[in-house]
Amino acid sequence: MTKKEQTRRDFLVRTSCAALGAAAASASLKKFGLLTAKALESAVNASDPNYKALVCIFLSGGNDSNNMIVPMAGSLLTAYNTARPAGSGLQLSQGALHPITVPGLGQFGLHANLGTTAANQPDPTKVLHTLWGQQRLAVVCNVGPLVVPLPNKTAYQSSANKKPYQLFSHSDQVAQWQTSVSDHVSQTGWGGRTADKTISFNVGSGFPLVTSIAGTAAFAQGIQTRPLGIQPAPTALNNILVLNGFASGQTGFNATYSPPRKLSMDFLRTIDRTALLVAAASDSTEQAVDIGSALSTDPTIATVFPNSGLANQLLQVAKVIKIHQGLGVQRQIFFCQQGGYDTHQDQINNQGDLFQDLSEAMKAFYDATVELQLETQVTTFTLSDFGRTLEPSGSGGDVGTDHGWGNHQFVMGGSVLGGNFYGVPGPSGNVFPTLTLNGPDDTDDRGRWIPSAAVDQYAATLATWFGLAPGDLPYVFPNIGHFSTSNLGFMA
Amino acid sequence: MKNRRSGFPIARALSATRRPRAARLSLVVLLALLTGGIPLGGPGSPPARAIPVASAAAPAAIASANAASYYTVTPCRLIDTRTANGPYGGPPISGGPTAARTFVFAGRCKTSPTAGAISLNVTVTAPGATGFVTLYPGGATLPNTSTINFKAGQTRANNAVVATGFGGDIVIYAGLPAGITTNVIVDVNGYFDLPTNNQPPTANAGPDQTISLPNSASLNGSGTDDGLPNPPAALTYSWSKVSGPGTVTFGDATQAATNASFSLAGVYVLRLTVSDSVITDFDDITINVNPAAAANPTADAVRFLEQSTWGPTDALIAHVQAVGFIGFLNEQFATPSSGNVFLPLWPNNTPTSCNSTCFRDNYTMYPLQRRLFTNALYAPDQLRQRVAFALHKLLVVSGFDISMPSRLNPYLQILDRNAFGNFRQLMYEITLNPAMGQYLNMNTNTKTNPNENYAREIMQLFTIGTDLLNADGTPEYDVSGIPYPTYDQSVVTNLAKVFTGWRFSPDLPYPPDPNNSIDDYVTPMVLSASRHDTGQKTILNGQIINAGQTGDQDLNQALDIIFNHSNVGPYLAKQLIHQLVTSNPSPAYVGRVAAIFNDNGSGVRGDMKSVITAILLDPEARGDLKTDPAYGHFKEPVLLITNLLRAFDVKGDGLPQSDGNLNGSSSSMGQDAYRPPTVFSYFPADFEVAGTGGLLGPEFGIASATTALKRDNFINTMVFSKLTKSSNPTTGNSPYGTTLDFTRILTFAAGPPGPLIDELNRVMLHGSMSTYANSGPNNMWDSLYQAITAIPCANPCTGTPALQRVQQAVYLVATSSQYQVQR
Repeated sequence: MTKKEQTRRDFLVRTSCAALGAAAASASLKKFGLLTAKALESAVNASDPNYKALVCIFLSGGNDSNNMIVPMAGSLLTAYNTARPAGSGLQLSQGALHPITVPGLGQFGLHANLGTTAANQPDPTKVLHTLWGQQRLAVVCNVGPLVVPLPNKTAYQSSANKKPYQLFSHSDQVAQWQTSVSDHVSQTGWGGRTADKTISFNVGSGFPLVTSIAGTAAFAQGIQTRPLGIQPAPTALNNILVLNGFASGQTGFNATYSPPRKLSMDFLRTIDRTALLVAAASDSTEQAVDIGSALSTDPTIATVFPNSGLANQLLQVAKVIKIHQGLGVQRQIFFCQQGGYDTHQDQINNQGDLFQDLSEAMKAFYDATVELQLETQVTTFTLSDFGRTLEPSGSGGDVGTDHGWGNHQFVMGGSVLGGNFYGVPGPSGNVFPTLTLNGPDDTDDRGRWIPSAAVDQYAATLATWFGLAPGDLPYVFPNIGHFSTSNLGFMA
Repeated sequence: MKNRRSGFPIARALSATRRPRAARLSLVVLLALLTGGIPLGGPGSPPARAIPVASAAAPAAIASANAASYYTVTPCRLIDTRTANGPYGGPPISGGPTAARTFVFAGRCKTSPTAGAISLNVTVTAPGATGFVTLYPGGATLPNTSTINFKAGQTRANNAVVATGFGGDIVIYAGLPAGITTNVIVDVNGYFDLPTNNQPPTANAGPDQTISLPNSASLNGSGTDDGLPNPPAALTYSWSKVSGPGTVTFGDATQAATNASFSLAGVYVLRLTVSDSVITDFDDITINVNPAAAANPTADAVRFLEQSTWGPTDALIAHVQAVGFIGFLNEQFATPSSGNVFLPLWPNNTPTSCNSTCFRDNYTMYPLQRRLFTNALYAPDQLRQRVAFALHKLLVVSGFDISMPSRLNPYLQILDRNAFGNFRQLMYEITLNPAMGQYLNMNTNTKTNPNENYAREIMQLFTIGTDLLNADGTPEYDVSGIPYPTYDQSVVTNLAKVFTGWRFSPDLPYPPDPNNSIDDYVTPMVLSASRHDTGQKTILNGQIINAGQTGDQDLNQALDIIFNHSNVGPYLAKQLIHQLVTSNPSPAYVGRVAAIFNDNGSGVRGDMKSVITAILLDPEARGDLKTDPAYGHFKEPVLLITNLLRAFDVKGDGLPQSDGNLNGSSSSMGQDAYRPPTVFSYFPADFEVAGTGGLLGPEFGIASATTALKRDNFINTMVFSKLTKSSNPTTGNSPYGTTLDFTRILTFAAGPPGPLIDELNRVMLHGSMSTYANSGPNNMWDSLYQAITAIPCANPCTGTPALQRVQQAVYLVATSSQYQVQR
């Protein structure tokens, strides 16, 4: 980019900062203008090499990735079978796993439901496992919140080494995954802060860089960035943000009386702003009204999505991506969520159902990005509260697992260097934990893995691909300097 | 209060009969007085005790010059062995001479220290076997008589006059087999003494009073006495505070007539103690101290109702103005729960006979959600419901997981029942509630397979939070600025062991289908001793729970330790203030409420009534005008809906009452009532609002562009239309529908728009609307005026145009952020 452009970007960042909390934020949206209705959809062309999107899928509750990626050979398999013996109620059958070969590490298997379609899905390619073979899917191993590297149990037990606050607690670990700050509570997330520093890509657009289809999340909050929250499909995009009472046919509409009502309503949002929460509520409505007028079409996606909560979130993401040129954006971050992973009980069935949903929803979304010819420009990744204890908890039909720490994550997309494991080598000598209870990477004796790779490193790799400048890494990831590398190498 | 009756017959001889075996409810008189040879209390010598004769064979020889007089006292409970503690409480009296207990009577319950005999009423309850109880003078031989006889399990009462022994004491003996017990309650109603002895003075603190800050209370106490001892004959006085939220300053605490000023509003009990230099008496007076009377009392009454109910109504505003804040709170504390409806349990598997309507009513949250809204709109126990819902958001069980209403209902009843009780009791009941046990896995937590879920959440979310707090709720930081954690993983692991062994009561059969059964979600969880980990546990702050205890002992000890952690007061204070008053209370406000949690002024910790009163009467909650930019809180969907509907006389669709089928609306705004997505409730308690410089706004946690418009669109529907009733009232979800009734508001729209705007300002914005006078040209009042006058209307304005003006105005106020933020 030229020097001149750089200056303009900086100016825009400052402008959007100054405008925060003021009616001016919406004024900028109006001023820059958004293409309307049909123009949005027709603006999509075959490809848009300047566009990039990050799509986060948060596996809420703490996914037990010990049963997502299962060893199929050697000492790891022995360790797995020792901790989860046959009859424990949690051991996965080797025969049902979908084998994946990992260069240098040997044979592993994906959970059965990540490679087999549900009974009502006739197309066997509609599963995540397919993408491993196409090298569009990678696994980042044993990632978790860290303040400083903790290479083994001794380091973990040393009081000299700082640990993340409130380990094993849902809300705090969710926060640490989403904020990438583990030594103190942060109100902003790494998605939002990445947006703070990449907003300059969206010159001329007032459309929020971060969109959540799963409510409000710390991940999406920046210091300057305020995320947009929208509903998932099947709600049509142009039905999401409609203010009733001001168009013919709507309840409360009166051709003569509605306009002065709208005038007063708009005006009331601009006054009494010394009361800060009143101002915040006004801004929320203001943003809704303005974006509602921008999302005035509902594009179609030909790829068939399953009908699940997560799939409907991802379908809505695909639709917004399809009209991105009309919205005037080159960078977008999306937040989706799939709940139910807090499997203290009956894990075998509950997690199986969740994986079925996850597998088919992710694959459908990938196929949709192919349909949009944007598969190399959209990267999808998972986060989760924490891993879970390798040792089962509970008994009988109620077997589950308790809160753990380090965890494996999926990264999916055309720019992912797929078909491989990534991370930071731990006590095992490679990126995969030893799976030994009370072993060198267990915090105690139940199989809570001390992460070898930090959330900061995982996230920084994604943010760097997205376009975050190296100089901005410390802004988004204040502790990144504690770790040996800021790039785990899984992105092209 | 006592009255001397001269000439009362003083004694009767005891009858030397055998102990009666049959129950006989007669006055048992044990009194005889001996007077010979003992000096009767002159100057410089101790007063003579009227010495009783204990022996049944003793003569009743009384010298008339030394006749004792009878003095009545206000009936006063001296002994109650049913209560656990104190010298006059438990344990129950066991059978056998060695188990008899001795109590000091004389000088207690406003009797004189020299009283020779006590007139009393003795009650026995829950005796373990048939038997009797005998009261007799301390130091005397056990007489061959009984004071009261009973059969096993009976509750019986009898009057008695019992002589006191040396030291003024009386023995209670139970004629029961050794080891068998009975509870005994003794109320004192009078005593006998020689009139020449110094009798206690009588204190009179005056009638109870109600005042408003900053006024002080005029105290007109008094005392009377028999003039003894002489000298000194003069009485001395002393005023003190017994209970109350703030400090009390007396004009002169040593004067019977003085004044008292109060640092905080609330209910105070003051005590006047009177002394004749040897014996004292006291009398208590209750002073209701209302917050400062407002310049415009309506405004603060409306705000008070926004904080303490599901929304002000015209009638309630007038009522609060009439009875005052404390009066209203006391009424609300006394109002029984409207939500305590028992729902019969349904079988685990839906019976095939259960059609879709049956399924909706017994396997979904639908009936509970309707009940929530119906009660919120119409029921009288507004404060209890508001607090119970706040507690639901704090001590979460979600209908997302516990999806049968009959299963969630007992949990909701616990919140209702304990909203005005003690927090410690709430902790106990909620811990053993089956829905909670299922939700946070305590029911499968065993010594061989411990489950940490409940152990973690009861600390992190229900009681103390993760950060060590100062008394004012601010975190306590270490040198590097990190808050000290309240506990670590080892505490969670150990506490999980404390909670092991509890499980559901056995399944109940479902007779129509032997393969089906009914999980018992009503009976509190029961202990399976073999599943309980009896090892030693080290929990909060290194406190140790000893090995070898029962599960119930472990549980209660652990709950005591958590309950007494210094974080509970400030943590709970902040949470409840967030829910009722403001998202950003000052540390001082949190500190004042936390102090009341720690001690309600009467030495009780965790008293919810006092905590709620302290929250609602605090200067930071009260007052006409709030200028702090951070003040207030964003109305969550349930509150926005009920506020709007209650303000405008909500009715059904052509029917007198709404069906409360409003959760669909609430859910679309982001709050699916009784179905919070996680144990972290509907929205995070620590959510910071972007662009406000770090202000908390928990309810903004579920705000999005979508929900912002859903809120406005709900208001649009209610103002310009209605929620139509279902065509089939049985199968349809909305049997009555919901409409606003603008009849009352229309009377304000008859002329120019001013009165209409003013009335909406009064009932919806507690007079806080910006006007030209206080805000200059850019003000809300003028903007509404323009929008209303855009609708032409004759003077007087009636019919459709009048309604259209009301709709225009109500829509604009209700959708305004000024209304959506309660401040």
